[in-house]
Amino acid sequence: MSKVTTANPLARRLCNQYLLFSMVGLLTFFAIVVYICVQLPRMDLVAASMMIPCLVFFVGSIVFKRSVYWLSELEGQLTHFADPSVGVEELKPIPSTSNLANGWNQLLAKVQQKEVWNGVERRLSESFNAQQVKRWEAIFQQLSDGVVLCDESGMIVESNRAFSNFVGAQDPARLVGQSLVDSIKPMIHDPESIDCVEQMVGGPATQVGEVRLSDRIEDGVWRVSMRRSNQESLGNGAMVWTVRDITQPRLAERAREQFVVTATHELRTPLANIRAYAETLSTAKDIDVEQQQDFFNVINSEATRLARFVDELLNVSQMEAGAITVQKHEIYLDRLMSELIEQQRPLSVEKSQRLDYLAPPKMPRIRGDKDKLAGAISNLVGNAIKYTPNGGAIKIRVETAPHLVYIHVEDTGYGISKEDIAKLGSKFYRSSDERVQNLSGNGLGLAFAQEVARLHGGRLIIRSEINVGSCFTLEIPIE
Amino acid sequence: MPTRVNGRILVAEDNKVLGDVLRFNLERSGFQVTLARSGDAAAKLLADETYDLLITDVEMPGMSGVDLCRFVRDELGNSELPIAICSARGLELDDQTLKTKYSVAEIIFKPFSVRDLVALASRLLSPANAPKTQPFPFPIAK
Repeated sequence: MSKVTTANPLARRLCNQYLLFSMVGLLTFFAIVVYICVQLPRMDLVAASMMIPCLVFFVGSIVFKRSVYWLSELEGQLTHFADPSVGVEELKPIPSTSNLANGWNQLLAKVQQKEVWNGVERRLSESFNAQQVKRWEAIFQQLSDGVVLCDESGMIVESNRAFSNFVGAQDPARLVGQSLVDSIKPMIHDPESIDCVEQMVGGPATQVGEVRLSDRIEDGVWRVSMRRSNQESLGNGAMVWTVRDITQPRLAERAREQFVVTATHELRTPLANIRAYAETLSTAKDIDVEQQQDFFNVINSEATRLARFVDELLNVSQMEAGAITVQKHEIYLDRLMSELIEQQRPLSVEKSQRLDYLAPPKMPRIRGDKDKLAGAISNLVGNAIKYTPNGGAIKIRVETAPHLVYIHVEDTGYGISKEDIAKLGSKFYRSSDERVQNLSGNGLGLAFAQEVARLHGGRLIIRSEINVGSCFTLEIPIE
Repeated sequence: MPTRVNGRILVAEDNKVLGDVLRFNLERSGFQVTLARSGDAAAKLLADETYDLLITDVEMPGMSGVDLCRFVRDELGNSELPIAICSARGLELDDQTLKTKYSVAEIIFKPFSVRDLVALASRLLSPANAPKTQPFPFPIAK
C-alpha cells in the first residue's frame, strides 16, 4: 500500500502562516517604536505609523481567514454527518482548492456515486425478485400436472390450477386448509384407490401410486406421487404431491394389448382353416374331385385373407413409424371402384344386405397410389358391411366437384357416438359399442384410410347417428 | 383313422369354413354332427336336444364359448356333457378356470389338427369315458 502524503500538510501551513504574521507584526512593531523615538515632534507621522500594524493585521486576518475558512466548512459537514439520519446525499462539496478540500470533494463524489449505484442496484434487484416470483407463480399455475403442498397432517397449504381442475374445484385458494384425501374423494369412485392415497399420506418419504377414478379406464387414471420435503422453507414434514392424468397413455396401452389379441385371432383363424383343409385333403383320399376343388379354393382364399392381414400389419408398422409413402400414378376411378365393390359383394350377400353403387356418367381420372387408395376404400366398404346388421343397406356413391372427388360410403348400421367419432382415427381404437366389440377387428382400418386421404392431400369425413347409420366420405383432390 | 364311435356332437363355430371341415371330418368318422353358427343358436339347440359332446369356439357373435359352458353347467344343470373348446385366443384365455369351474375336458388352440380333434372326440365319446349314470348295484361275476 502506497503511503499517502500531502504536499503541504495543514498543520505546518497553519504554523507557517501564524509565524509569518507574528514576525511581520513584531518587525512592524519594532520599526514603529524606532520611528516614534526619531519622529516624536511630528505627530502626524506617528499616527500614520500606528495605522500600518492595523493594516497589516487587517490584511493578515483576511488572508488567514481565507486560508482556514474551508476548514470550518469541513468541520460543519462532518458534524452534520455525525447525525445517523443524515445520508451521504445531503453532504456538500467544499469550495476550496486546498488539497484537503479537494480530497474531501473527491471522496464525497465517489461515495455519492457509489450510493446512487447501490440504490439503482437495490431497486433493480427488488424488481427482479418480484418478476421472478411472478414468473414462478405463473409456471406453477400453468403446469399441466397438479401440484399440491400439504403440511405433515395432509392439509393443503397450496395447490395449483391443474390440481383444482382435477378435483373439480373452481379456485385453488378454496382448497387451502382442506385435507388432500377429502378433496380428491368426490372424484374417485374406486375404494381401493382412496385407500392407496390414504396409505401414501402416512407412508414412507417417497411414493408413487396409480389411482383409477372408477373401474373403467375411460373415466380417468391418475399417477399420484408424493415426496416428503426436507426443506425448511416448505415447513417441517411438508409433502409435495403431484398428480398427472395418464388416462390417454393407459387407453393406448389397452388398445395395443387388444390389438395383439385381435392380431393373434386374425392370424390363427385363416391358419386354422388352411391347416384343417390341407390335412383333410391329405388324409381323405376318397373324396370326389369337385369337393377336392372346393377344399383347394378354401385354402386359396384363406391364404389370400392371411396375406391381406399381413399387408395390414405392414401398413401398421409403417404408420407407427410415420413411414407410409404414396407413389402416384394415373388411376381410372370407375374401374377401381367396380373392382373393389365386386370383391366385397359376396360379404354383403352373405349378410343379405343391399349393396348399391352410384357413380356419375363421367368418372374422373385421378392421380394417386392405387394400392393404398384401394386399401382405404376396401376398409370403408368392409366396415360398412361388417357393422351393418343382416338385411341392411349399403350405398357407395361417387360425387365430383371441379377439383375434388368424393367417395361416400353410407350404411344403415349401428352408428357411432360423437365421443367415438373423435377417437376413431387413432390407431387401434375401436368403438366402445358392445355390438362392435363383439365383432373381430383391429382398429386400424379408419386410421389407415385417414392417413391415405391425408397423404393424397384430402381428408376423411365421418358423419354418423347411433342406430341410424354412418356416412364415411373420402375427399381426394383431382390433380 | 380312429375307431368309429357313434355319438351326437354339437359344433358351435361361427366361421362357416372351419365348421364345414369339422363336420366333414367328424361325420366321416361316424359321428352325427349338428353345426351352430353362433353361441345363441348352440344354446337353443342344447336346451332342446340331447348331445353327447359339445365342441365350441370361444369368440362368437352373441354368447361366447365361455358363456355357453356356463349355460350348460349352470342353467341347464348338465354336468355330464363333455365340452371341448377350440380357441383362436392366446394366453388371455383362463384355461384353468374353464377346466375346474366348468369341467371343460380339453382346450385346443387354433390352428389345430383335425385328426387330433377327431381322435379327441372318439376318446371323449368312447364307452370307457362315458359317464356312469346308472352304476350296477353289484359286481358282475365273470
